[in-house]
Amino acid sequence: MLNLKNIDAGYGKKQVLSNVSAEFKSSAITVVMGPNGAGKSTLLKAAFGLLKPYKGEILFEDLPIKATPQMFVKKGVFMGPQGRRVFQNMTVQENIELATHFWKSRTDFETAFERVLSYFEELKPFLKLPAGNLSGGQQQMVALARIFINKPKMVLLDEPSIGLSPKLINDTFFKIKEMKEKTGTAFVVVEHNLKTLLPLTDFAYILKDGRVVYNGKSEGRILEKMMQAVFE
Amino acid sequence: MEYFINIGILFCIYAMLALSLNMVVGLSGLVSLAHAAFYGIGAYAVAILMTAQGFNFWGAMCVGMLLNGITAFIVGKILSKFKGDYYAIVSAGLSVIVFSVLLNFKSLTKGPLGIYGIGKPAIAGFHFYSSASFLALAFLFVVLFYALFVLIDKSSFGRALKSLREDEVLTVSLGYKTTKYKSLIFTLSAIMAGVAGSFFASYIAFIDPTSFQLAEGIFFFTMITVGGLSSAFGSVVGAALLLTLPEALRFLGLPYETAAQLQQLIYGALLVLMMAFRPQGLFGKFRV
Repeated sequence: MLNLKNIDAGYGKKQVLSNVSAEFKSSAITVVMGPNGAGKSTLLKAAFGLLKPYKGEILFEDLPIKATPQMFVKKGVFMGPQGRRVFQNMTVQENIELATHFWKSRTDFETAFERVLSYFEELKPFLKLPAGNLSGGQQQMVALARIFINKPKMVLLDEPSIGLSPKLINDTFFKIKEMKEKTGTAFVVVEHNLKTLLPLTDFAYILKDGRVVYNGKSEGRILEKMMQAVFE
Repeated sequence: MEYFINIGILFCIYAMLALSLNMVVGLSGLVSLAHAAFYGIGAYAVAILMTAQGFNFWGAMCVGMLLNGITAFIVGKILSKFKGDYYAIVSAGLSVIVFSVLLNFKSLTKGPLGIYGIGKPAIAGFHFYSSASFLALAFLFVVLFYALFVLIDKSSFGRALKSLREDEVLTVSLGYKTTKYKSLIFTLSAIMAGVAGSFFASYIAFIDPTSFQLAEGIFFFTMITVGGLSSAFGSVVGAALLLTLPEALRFLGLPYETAAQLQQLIYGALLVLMMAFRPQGLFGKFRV
């Protein structure tokens, strides 16, 4: 669904990605792993149009596009940036409403809101509270609910595990899998190392020094060997 | 009585400046020190066009607003790439540039000599010569600005500003074009500051560049920091407080030099105390 072709990208003179190609498939969970500085976040930023690649092509649903966040949200692709989940001083409901600014009509909001709350029942008691008062795990759910009010086709998440306890990381990934199964939404998740949760995912990429060193199913001996080589 | 009317007019001018600056600093979280520049452009537009070109007040004010709009739009495009401290420093740079132009472009601005004999506004043959009528007119604009602030605060535009103030990266990821929002509010605020400048020039009838230095911009900043960031009511209270506090000193019967120094001391102390104990200001909803 989202294809990157021969991407070179970086910050000013510091090139991070060299000739990276990737294909993120619809209705699947793809995890992008790699050590610090491998270029995982850079890849996600380039894919979402937050960073202009030096060269290369980005295709969405087989058509070449000029990637910008404004264009992607209209096409149903959303991103959760690293370490930022909610607007702390705004209420949970306001947080969710913020993601609907580009809707042409307000009339569907109530039904959409009902629908998203049926996925995230645990948020119901907190709708009028400032999102900053919620726990880290609950904030994660607010971030997902904010994306899912839009019926996304694809969700890009940059290290959703950051700052969460192992139990909450588990909860987050089970929620991601549950959302994929219920709605058919594709996920691209960047994580440092997702060893124990790999069975929840479908495809894996491993990046090292700005290059793709593994790309395929998120299981099997080759992946295991590669993870050992990269992380140990 | 005349004395209080004059204080009232100054209050109205400061309240316009505070309200417009608070849209940028408070609502949007952009620490702009460029406000004195736009105040100055608005004032000089009226001064030059009314004295040398025979414009009436409203025409001259509109030219000033237009000039501010264009300047702010261009500068805002550059400024929107910055945030936090860098925004403050770059915007302060604009203030210094405009001050230098006012001081040195003598053929246009008469430099340090200043421009005198600036006329008063008129509507359909009625001239606002008397202080009381001028106060009423200025107050009308304060009310308009206040309403505009509240309107923006409650609108979806305002909510976008507040969200980018809190977390710009997250706001961008939701598909907001934050640079557009930042440059838009900056431009609007500059146009409003131009109106305040026009009223100031017309009211004082004589202006020189010293009224539009960077230090003035910091003074406006103090007004909203004391009154309260992101709050329309706070802006007005801040303007009133900082205007009346030094006026109160007059009644202590101190010699002029002492009073002037004391005034600076009070402003400084006020800023330090507010930052230490109530960084969001008296009625603020946000802290830088």
